[in-house]
Amino acid sequence: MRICIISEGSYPIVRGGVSEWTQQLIKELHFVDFDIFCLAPTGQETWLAEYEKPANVKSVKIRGLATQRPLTRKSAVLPKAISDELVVCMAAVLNGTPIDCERLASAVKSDHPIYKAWLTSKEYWDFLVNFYETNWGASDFSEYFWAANSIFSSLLDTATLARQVPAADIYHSLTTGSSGFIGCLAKIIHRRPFVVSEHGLYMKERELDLAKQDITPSVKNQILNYYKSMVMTCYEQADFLIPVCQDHASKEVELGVDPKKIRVVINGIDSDKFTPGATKIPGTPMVGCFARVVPVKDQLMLLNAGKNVLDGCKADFVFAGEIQDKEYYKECQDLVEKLGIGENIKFIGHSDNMLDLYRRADIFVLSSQSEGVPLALLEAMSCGLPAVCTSVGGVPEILADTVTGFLVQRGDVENMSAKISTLLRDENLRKKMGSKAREFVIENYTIGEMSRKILKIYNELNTRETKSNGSS
Amino acid sequence: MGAPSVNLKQIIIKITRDIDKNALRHSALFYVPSLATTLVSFLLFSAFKGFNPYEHNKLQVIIMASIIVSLVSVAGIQFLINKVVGEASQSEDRINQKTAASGFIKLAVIISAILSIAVSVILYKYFNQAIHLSALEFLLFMILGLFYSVIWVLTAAFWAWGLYKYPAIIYVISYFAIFIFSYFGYRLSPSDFIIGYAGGVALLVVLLSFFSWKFFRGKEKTKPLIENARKLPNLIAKNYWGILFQTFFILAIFLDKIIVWISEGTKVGTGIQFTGVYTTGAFLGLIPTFSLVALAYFTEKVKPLSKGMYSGTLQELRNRIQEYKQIYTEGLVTMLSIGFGLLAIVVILGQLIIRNTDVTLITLTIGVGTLFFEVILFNAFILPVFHKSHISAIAMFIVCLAEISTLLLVRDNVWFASLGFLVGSEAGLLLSHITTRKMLAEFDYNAFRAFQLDN
Repeated sequence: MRICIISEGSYPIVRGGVSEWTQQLIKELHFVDFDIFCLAPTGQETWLAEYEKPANVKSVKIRGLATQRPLTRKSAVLPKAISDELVVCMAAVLNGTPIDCERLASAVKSDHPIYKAWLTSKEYWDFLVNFYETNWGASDFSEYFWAANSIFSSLLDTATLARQVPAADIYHSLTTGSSGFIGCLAKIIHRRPFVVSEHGLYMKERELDLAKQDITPSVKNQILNYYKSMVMTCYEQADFLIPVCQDHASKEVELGVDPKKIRVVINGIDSDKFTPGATKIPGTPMVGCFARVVPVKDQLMLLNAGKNVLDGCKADFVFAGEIQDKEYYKECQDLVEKLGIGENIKFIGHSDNMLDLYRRADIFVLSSQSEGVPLALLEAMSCGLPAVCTSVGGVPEILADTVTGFLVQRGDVENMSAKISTLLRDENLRKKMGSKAREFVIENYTIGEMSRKILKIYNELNTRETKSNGSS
Repeated sequence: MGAPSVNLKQIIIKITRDIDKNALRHSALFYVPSLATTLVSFLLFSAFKGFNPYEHNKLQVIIMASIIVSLVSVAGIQFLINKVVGEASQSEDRINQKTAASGFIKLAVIISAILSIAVSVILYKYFNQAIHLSALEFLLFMILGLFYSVIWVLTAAFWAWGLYKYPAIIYVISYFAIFIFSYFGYRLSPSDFIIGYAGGVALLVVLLSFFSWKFFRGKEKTKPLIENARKLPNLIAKNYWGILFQTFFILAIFLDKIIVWISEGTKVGTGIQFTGVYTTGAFLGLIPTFSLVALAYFTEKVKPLSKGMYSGTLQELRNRIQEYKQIYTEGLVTMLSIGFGLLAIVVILGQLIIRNTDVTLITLTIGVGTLFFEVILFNAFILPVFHKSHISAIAMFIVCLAEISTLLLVRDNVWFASLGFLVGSEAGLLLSHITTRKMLAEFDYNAFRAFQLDN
């Protein structure tokens, strides 16, 4: 069996939960062949040295998502039938409804730049103007035009990239965004099954990203509709959806996904590797926040909570995790300076020895605005750490409030600081919660269990496909 | 949205009612330098009769050749100056942009000086053997070419910034001085006429340089020349159609005359001969170009409209486009009406005063061609909006080509040179105007398409 993993800005180019999850899965399923097709930000198209390439990875293609092909001066004159197909697909994007992948795949037959040149054609202009007059008549036309242009440019880039996805038995996308959309098209092109894992809720995360951007509401809506359109296309096209927690599964059902298509597969970790260390070194307790430095992890909230904590307790806050958003990191640094807590706050960036950090920490904290099942939380719990986390995504399914740690509402600075302070003041409570946390992980979240479930899905799809091919 | 329709009566009523005095003043000032140059040149060549015909021709060759050679050699640079300084003047941060513009102007002056010297050196053999210019005369030709190159560049910089008053005053003062200096030179000895003339031109260079230094020097230090020079290849790559247009435009104006002058010069053995008939007829025929004042007026009037042209709803945008098209039609009709009127006056007065049907025929042919030629120029202002600068360049190239095609016919009858200009201008006009109308008919689509290609 040959599986093509389609990733977007994660494995194997960036460290993080999804990348770890993928590496573990591939290693665990060493008897299955994998191809990797990764969409990368331009300039980041290299395999990260940190991830040793497993022997069962047979091919790797890392492609820049923004290919930035220049438009040709000559407008592409596409046959009317193809132009019409494209117009239908674009209308779906602007409406936030699923894209007809059969149409798009039949229209975009090669990766020739002609499809982008179509964006300068009269047919495209007329379509845009008609859509504007019907739906956006009162908003700024230039803004609408440029937003639509960049959306469709990206869509056509993505669609043409799908032509480069290698032949495989099953296509497995790691998100419902562009990689999911490529998976949908690969399914149509190669007539093979397609599954998509949702480690986080793509729509939710994009909404949070956009909320912070300085763009007009109408443009924001346009972009959100684009994301929605891609997500809904994935939901429609996927043979199975693999959310990492029940919370995500429920949200997918709310969005209209057939529950029969959903297979929840909870993340797993290596509990033999992530074990508690020797007795803690006496001294100032350490609060660890181990997550990528990006807005969705909301380190700003934790810094504000940290200020309250430090007013009453002694503690060192250590933030470990790749600094992926430099601007956001700067915002965090500015806040640290403004709050005057620089002495007790350390951003150490990515660490090659996370196990050591887990063992040195006394409390694990996660202030994310959106999550799936965070591997860092599972690893921390496996190392016997009590945790204080925002109650988002699959977190409440792993962290039992008041048993293995505390749950607080997203953005609730006061409660988060109160819960951290409680744990800092009570060493026994920390030990008790930490020990229960480890027990819980060993019982429920192992890599073996996770990999078996995924393999079962692959086998089910492969058998189904073989049968349907045989019967036809 | 259809192409603009023409209702002459309505347009004339509207123009008189909505006349933009500021735009009119700017466009009038824009023509002062050309008027001063033409008037003084005419006076100089007609008032001083003390030369023998051979010397007279030689003097004309030195002055006219230096003007034409410098104009052709710096045409591309002039276009770039217009682009760079024009864009800087539109910037919100005009003070700092002035410093940036000043850096580019310095570079442009140096390049144009080098180009002018290089072209002169290339022409040396011809000027020495065919026209028999002495080393001193050739040196004077070279110096004048150098001066004029600097003058064209600096004048272009002032105009590009939207400053018409400075060059107008400077040209009037300097050309008055050129006349006086030439006169005193001539009084000393006819052979010193050219020294006086060069002195006057030098004054023009000095005044333009001083005022451009005074005006364009910013508060900050300009970037080193090398930094501006590094940007030049990219600038040329982005604007090569514009550069070609400007070069062909200058060539198209003079090519018919050069062909006649050389043809006549070969016949009589002077290398270049300024024939009375063709030169008089051709320059009279160019008088309708003064109606290009309407283009200057149009460009001034659309300036405020162009700012924020594409903001707001589609309806608001289309309203502005409608207004733009209206101004375009008004400008074009005004220009052609003035041009036609001027041509009629020139032809009638010319025939009455000069009483030479050959001259009148050449005036008429060149004059009609000039009206067509002006439309190409007018459209050349609009076509870049739609990424169609190449159409204007090709149109001008067609004019040049048609002029060159008369090379063999001119030996028999100089009128063919003017016919070449007329036919070429008509063909160029067809290409340019069909494209412009097509672009204007779907202005919004074509403009946004051009933006897409820019990005």
